[in-house]
Amino acid sequence: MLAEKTFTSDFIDHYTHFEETLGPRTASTFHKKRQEALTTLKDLLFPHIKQEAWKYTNLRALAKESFQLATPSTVSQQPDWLKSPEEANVLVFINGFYKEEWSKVISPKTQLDLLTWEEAEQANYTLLTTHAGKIATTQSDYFNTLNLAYTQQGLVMHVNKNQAVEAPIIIYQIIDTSQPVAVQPRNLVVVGENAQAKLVEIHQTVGPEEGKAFLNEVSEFFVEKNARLSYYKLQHELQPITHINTTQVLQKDHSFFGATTISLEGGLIRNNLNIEIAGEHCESFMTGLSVLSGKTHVDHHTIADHQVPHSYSNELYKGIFDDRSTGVFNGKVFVRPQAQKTNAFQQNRNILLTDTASIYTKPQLEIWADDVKCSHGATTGQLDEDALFYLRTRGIPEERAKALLLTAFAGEVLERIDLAFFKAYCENYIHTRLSN
Amino acid sequence: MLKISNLKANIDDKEILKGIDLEVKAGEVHAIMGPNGSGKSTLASVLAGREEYEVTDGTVTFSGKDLLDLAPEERAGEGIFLAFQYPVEIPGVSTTNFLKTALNEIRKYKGMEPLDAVQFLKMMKEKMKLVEISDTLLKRSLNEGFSGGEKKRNEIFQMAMLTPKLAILDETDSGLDIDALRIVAEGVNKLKTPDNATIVVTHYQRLLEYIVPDYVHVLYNGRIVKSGTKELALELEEKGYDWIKAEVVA
Ligand SMILES: Nc1ncnc2c1ncn2[C@@H]1O[C@H](COP(=O)(O)OP(=O)(O)OP(=O)(O)O)[C@@H](O)[C@H]1O
Ligand SMILES: [Mg+2]
Repeated sequence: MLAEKTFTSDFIDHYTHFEETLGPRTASTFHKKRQEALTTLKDLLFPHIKQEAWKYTNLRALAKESFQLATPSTVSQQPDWLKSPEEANVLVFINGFYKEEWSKVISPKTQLDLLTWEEAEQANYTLLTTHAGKIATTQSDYFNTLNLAYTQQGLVMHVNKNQAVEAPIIIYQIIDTSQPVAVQPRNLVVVGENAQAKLVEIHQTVGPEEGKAFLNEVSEFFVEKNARLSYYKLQHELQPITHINTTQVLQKDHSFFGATTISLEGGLIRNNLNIEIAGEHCESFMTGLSVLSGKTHVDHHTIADHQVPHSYSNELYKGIFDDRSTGVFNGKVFVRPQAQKTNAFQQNRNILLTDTASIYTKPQLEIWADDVKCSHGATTGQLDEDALFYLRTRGIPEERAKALLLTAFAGEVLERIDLAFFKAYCENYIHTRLSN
Repeated sequence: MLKISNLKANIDDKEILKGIDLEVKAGEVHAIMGPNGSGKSTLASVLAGREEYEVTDGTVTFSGKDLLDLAPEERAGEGIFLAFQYPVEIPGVSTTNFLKTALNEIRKYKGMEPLDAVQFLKMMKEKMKLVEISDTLLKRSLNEGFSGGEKKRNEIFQMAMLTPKLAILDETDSGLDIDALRIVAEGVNKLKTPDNATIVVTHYQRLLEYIVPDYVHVLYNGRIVKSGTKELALELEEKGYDWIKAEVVA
């Protein structure tokens, strides 16, 4: 356990140095939350495979690394994949630092406030006091606590009541692996009553191959009454970095929240997606697709927590695992005693393309109410041999037939994506990848 | 066109085909009948190239080529078509899209230019009439949620599109009502030319009233135990298989 202790104490020891980089922000009200988190962190244990939540994701290798406080990247050439649609708000962060030249905000102030965390903090923006750290718990969660103590940059967004924001808000979180950096972004989003927004988060890396880095991100989303928030996350990190994140969502009455997580490349990825369904007649969608190869490991932990009656949640996660890639799916659905008339559905479907790829899947339904409709299912298998033979008897060569079947398998998730540019990006990439 | 000699095949070390001899010439229609489990579908699968079946002895030549040497897709390229007894449901792949891929892969195999979208659609329209299959069905995922009859009709539609030299129809009549049976059979007859051949696997004489066979064979316990003309099918319909089983034992 020595490495794990050192990992924590390294962060604690370098805290004064971190505070210096914050400059005048140490005077903000939010900074007190950072300091409290630092105190909490001292008593928290680094996650270990003996803990149920980390059983299949071993962080030993991470613990043994030492990371340095992120510094701004020297990358000056805009990567060619950084092409966003015309009608979009774009915020680019490299190593957690805001890259203003590559960013743009087009939606009017009357619709929404869009700030970087630094701007919000300097302005003592109210939401940081009223909402930040309110739902992503720190008491027992090591990485949430570490993030809060070290919050550096990110997005703070408030969609005004009754405003439907047409242009998507796109965040690029880019990691430059030239240095072994630790990057800890934090996002806070409040979608006001009867308002709507689409938020996209794209994770990419630049810098040397095999470069190491540690990304630990926390997002808190508050979806108010009658509000709608669609969230699309793309994990496309070419360098094998460690990427841990928590998305914590709170939904009020008659609200809609949809999360789409597309995981294509990376080192070790852990996604925690937790939805507190605290409103009646809510709709909550969680959709995921992992198309993995090499040694990439992706761990999805999700919670749909039905706290009140009459809400609906629907979860579909699919995975295609090649080479030595591994996947974890742990989907919890809680239906609290008072949450009668809940409808909750969950599906996890996986295809293993090799003997060395693996998936650990664990649907977990805990239902305390009696008048509910809930179902779940998990399947793992190889490609359907009968289907493959059928296609081949029609003249379609084996490799092409396989690609056709895998594309169809992935298609069930892709066709649910209702944001054209994001869908096209994912489809193109996945079609090319599955055809090779 | 097709010559099968002493063909033996196993599945999981169990011998299913125990020495089949059969010759099919261009322009001919052969019917294969026989009790359940006698090996009819196994023979069809082996001819189409299913790898689960291990061929332990014998030869199959098709248009002068060693068929057993070819992958299923190459056999399709050479002109073999199997209408499945149980067509597979493939969610997420539309019939139209699938057929366009299949057709152009076969054309590529034959060294022909691919059809473009317009030519393909024109051809589809023509062939759809032939088997009276609906547009809406073809837009759906391949066979997914199709009724038994719709699946069979879709098989014959695919056959019409791919114009094989040798079509093997494995119980295409089962699951079809009498009207659908007539449509499908007429479709098969219209596709007949002096250059192609058909093997019809069936339990019932009824189909053979529409698709009239030149030869009828009885497959029993992995062997062709009796061959004759279309009258044999009538006799089987009347008397069942027991007399043939008795002949085999004797
Ligand atoms: N995949 C398999 N595994 C094990 N045994 C099999 C398999 N496929 C076929 N068999 C066996 O081979 C034998 C022949 O089966 P086949 O399907 O060829 O018969 P059939 O003549 O087509 O019967 P039916 O008239 O019912 O369609 C049967 O005993 C069957 O149980
Ligand atoms: Mg059969």
